[in-house]
Amino acid sequence: MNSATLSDLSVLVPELILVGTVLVLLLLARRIQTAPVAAVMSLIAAVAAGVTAGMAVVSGPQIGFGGMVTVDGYSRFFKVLIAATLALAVLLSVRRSNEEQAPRAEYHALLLLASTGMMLAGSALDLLVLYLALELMTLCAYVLVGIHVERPWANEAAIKYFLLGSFASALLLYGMSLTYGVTGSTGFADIAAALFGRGLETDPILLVAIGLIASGLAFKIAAVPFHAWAPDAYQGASAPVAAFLAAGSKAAGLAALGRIGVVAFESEAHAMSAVLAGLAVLSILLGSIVALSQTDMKRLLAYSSIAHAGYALLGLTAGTPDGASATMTYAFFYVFMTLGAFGVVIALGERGESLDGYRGLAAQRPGMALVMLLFLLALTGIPPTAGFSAKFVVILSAVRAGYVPLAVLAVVCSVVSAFIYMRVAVLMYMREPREAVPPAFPVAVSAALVVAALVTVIGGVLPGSLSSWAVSP
Amino acid sequence: MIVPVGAVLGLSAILFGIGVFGFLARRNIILMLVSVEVMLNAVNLSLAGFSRHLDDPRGQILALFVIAVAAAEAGIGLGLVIALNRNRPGAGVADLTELKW
Amino acid sequence: MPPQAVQAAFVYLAAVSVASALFAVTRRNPVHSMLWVLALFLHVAGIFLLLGAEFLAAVQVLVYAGAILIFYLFVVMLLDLPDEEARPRFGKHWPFAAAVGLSFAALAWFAWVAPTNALGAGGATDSQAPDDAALGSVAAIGAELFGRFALPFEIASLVLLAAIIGAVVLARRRATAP
Repeated sequence: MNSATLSDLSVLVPELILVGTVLVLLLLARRIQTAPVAAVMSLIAAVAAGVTAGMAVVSGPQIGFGGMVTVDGYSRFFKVLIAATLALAVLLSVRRSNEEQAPRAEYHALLLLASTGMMLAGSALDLLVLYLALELMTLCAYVLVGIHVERPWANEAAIKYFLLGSFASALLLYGMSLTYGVTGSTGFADIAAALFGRGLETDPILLVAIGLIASGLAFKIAAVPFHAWAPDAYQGASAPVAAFLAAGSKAAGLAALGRIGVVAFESEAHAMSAVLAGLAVLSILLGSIVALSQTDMKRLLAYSSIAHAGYALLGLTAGTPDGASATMTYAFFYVFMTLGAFGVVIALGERGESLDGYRGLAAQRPGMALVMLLFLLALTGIPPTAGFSAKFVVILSAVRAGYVPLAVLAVVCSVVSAFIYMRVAVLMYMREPREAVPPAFPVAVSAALVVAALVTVIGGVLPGSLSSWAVSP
Repeated sequence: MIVPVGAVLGLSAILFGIGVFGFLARRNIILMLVSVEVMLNAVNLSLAGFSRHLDDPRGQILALFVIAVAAAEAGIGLGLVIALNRNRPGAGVADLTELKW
Repeated sequence: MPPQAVQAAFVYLAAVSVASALFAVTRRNPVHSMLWVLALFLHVAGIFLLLGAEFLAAVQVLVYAGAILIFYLFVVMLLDLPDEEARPRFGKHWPFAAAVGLSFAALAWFAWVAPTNALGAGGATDSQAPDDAALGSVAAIGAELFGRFALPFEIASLVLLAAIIGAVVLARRRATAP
């Protein structure tokens, strides 16, 4: 048994920056209710966390707290991604001053704490740390969804999210408990060693445990059949929170699934693949088909995010390090596409929330419509956007793993999904406007949109340039 | 060990099943939360059983953290219920129709 | 305690746990449900004691029965759910729920397979009782919590911090006009 030392803390610098900022925000909460100070502080913290995470040791993986957490290429990738998500979400949260506001300091503190949980989930090497990190993320998420307590639909969305979330946590925990019982450990490396050493490949209890853990994590990424919360939560939450959840929660869940699948249950890859392939098929099918009938933009994006969870899982079904890095690439580009699409919704305000609000947007605001078109093309997966390169790598990895029917299904559903996104494009470019010209964006929202659009374009034109550091666990 | 680990695990599985049934069948938010608590108790029971069987304290530590998180969840869950109740009295999931279920 | 007494105690605690859990999820009146859950929590704490998890048993009584459950009761009584008696107890799909619940309960076949082959090789076997004091005592748990498990302990404190912020934000009076 070893106790923690200062060098252990060096593994957690990005998380410590975020938590420190949370504490300062809470201390100053009374003073910064009205000023945009909270947003600026959160933005600085997010950038600092991203930079320190990105600069972390290149010399090799480093382990802290007796094997509980690690800094390696994999965790660094996700920490930078989460920091970017946080920064964009903070920018998107900046409102026009006349709009009603949730308590600013608490809102940003919860965003930062949720991001801390996401980062820890990506670097956890132990089931216990993973569980606590995911709980930290989801508990903050429940509150963020319901933070506008005066809106009945926000209450309702938060309650549904909370009920299903705590149910899923209980399933995840039961799976962890069984894994602990079967392998005698909670550390990923020890679990893998125990499974290799004792030949438990066909042990039914272990299969139950894998199924339960996969279900619990599938909830976090909103994969079918654990998706029921997503449309309600995204629709009921304010748009910036929905964007943060769609991007961050998904990235963290995929990071955890990837690490567990490739490290802890390495010898069980076939069982894990079978479960993940099933989740992927259902998610892609249901997400693509149900999105066709949506008229609420946030709900449409929610079903789109369900379908995208399915595409991202395609990489993990391969059960190989290459597959895991394909999924990481997908998660990376997806985060920016979806934050961008939500950003346009946010910029349009009330009007952006229903599909009809997009009628004739191109005539009124050509720039805004063009940016939206870019994100829609990326979500469909049309070259030369990042959406194409992302889909390409995951489908390729599914083919390499021998899941050819799955790959064909993914391609077909991509074509179907084109109808969903092009419906919005048609409304923007080929219909007469019915509503007044929307007001100009807040500067912060424009900045976030520019960043997201740049990543989406660069990722499409030079696919290797941004994702080359997607190192598998 | 005088209490066989298998019996503890069997009991925990049965309690977990009861909790799952309660969560899926009940239509009252508070009782759904109570069902989740029953599930968490079942998990803790299995953790304590494994801990004893393996002669390893980790199971008990994990159970302690589960209790801590359950307390946090209860705080937030009931806060949400109170906020909902201010807007709309009565706490049945069946009433939650503002958004599609 | 002689082995027979321990076994008898376990059988009693297990039987009452199952019964009170069943009552807790099926009673019409939420307050009755709460009281049955209280019985469940206390009996589970008893089983923890039989398993040598002394500290866990104490925390179970103090935090679960003492704090969490009282909080639930407080909210139930605060909200004064009036027409709960008149509503249908279960949703229409309760047979489905029962099937899922039963399939989880079917995992109880652990009772037969678990001790023989499936579990990790531990230090203790069924014939030799481990030293209780070494495993579940306050001293042992404390040393582990602040040594090997310092990081999870700190993350748990963040979880509780998030819960505090959340509870304050959610329970605040609405729209404090500027």
